[in-house]
Amino acid sequence: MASRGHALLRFAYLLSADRYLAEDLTQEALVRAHRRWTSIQRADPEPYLRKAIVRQYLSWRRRRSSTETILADLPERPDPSPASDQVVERDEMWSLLAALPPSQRAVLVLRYYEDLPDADIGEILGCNESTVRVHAFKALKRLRAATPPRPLTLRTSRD
Amino acid sequence: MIDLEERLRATLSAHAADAPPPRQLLHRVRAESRRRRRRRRAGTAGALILASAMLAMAGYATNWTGSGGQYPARDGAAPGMAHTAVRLVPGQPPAVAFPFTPRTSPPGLGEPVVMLIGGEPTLQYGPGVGGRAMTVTLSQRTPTDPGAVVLPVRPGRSVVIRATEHFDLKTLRTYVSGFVDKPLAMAAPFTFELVPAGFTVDNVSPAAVTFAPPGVPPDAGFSDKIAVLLNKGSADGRRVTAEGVTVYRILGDGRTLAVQVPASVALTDSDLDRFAAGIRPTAAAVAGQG
Repeated sequence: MASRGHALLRFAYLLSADRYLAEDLTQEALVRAHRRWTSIQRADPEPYLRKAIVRQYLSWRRRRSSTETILADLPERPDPSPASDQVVERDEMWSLLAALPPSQRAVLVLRYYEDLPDADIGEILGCNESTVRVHAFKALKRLRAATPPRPLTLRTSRD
Repeated sequence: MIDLEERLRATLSAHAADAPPPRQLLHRVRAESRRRRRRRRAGTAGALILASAMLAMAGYATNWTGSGGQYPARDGAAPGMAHTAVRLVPGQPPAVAFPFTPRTSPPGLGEPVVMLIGGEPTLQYGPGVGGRAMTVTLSQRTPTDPGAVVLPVRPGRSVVIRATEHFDLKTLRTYVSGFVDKPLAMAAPFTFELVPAGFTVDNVSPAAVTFAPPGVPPDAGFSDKIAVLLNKGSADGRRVTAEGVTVYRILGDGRTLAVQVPASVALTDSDLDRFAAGIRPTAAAVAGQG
């Protein structure tokens, strides 16, 4: 559990885009798992913990959307440096990801960060493969519509 | 499509590095797990006590009615719970003060009220028109709730701001930069002739004060603590439940003083009466809804 803590935090952070919430989600998943650790440990505990984090995240989003109001952004994230276009582009993509519905975002994180097949993603989200593909299709469609295509770069022979 | 997927992978990989480090994660998981185990045990014990009490009610119902419908006197704390013995000593809860005085209030919010919440001095704004409210807490703890804003006030000292609606960071920074190094004191809502020795006062509002027993960490809740509340209405007498005992004292001006003692705190009935009799609301006290 201790050795994989950081990986789980990274995963929770990519889902929630919030450092504090990521800590909360991970801690809650681990506390719940702690009660049944002996039985969980027999199998590979990491898929179980990922599933717990995703479920926590989705139910938190449902609760928040019905009861809470977003107050303000946390100020601790450093301002984006005026660095390369790539950094700007990643920040744009990150903002677009944050605007996706939680299930679609979860599918993208599981597919493109965790590299899981759709069947495993469906198992984690509690839906079938075709639903996963629909979520992924809609999410990618929204991202594509919002991101301008990269300009073609002409290479010269001196490159 | 491939290009978009590549960009997506790169974005996720790059931002994964911003994830928080696992600071004492295992320690916090173990501590929280222990706390929940204790609560489950206490809940099970409470359910058993309640069941016993309900079974006993059948036999004693006649006697209760015969004594004017009053609840029976408590013979001490409920069995099966971890008891904290209590000794009453003369004294007053410590004065509460927020270490800074704000020069201005955020837009739409009036003057703050100083309170102690979970052991932390706090400025409470509102709720006012439209339910607008904001709290500003001088805290050493890292907030875990999304939306809480942490802003430095002085080197090594930060405040945590929570509000019912969005304030932009510039507004909040301007507000915090107006803090003056002058403590803003709270007018105490009650005076006490006696206080429980060794207990920590962890919440003080215009309507309530809580005393946390030794070993109970400060938090914003009333569970497992002695609570003194000023309510509207005219409840009187003594009410015993599986959770503990509550003594009500009518003040004669439409307000009632309630003293709640949890079953885990072993305060005798006579000491509870002495404690309740020595509490007087001040002009700063504001009755809650109970």
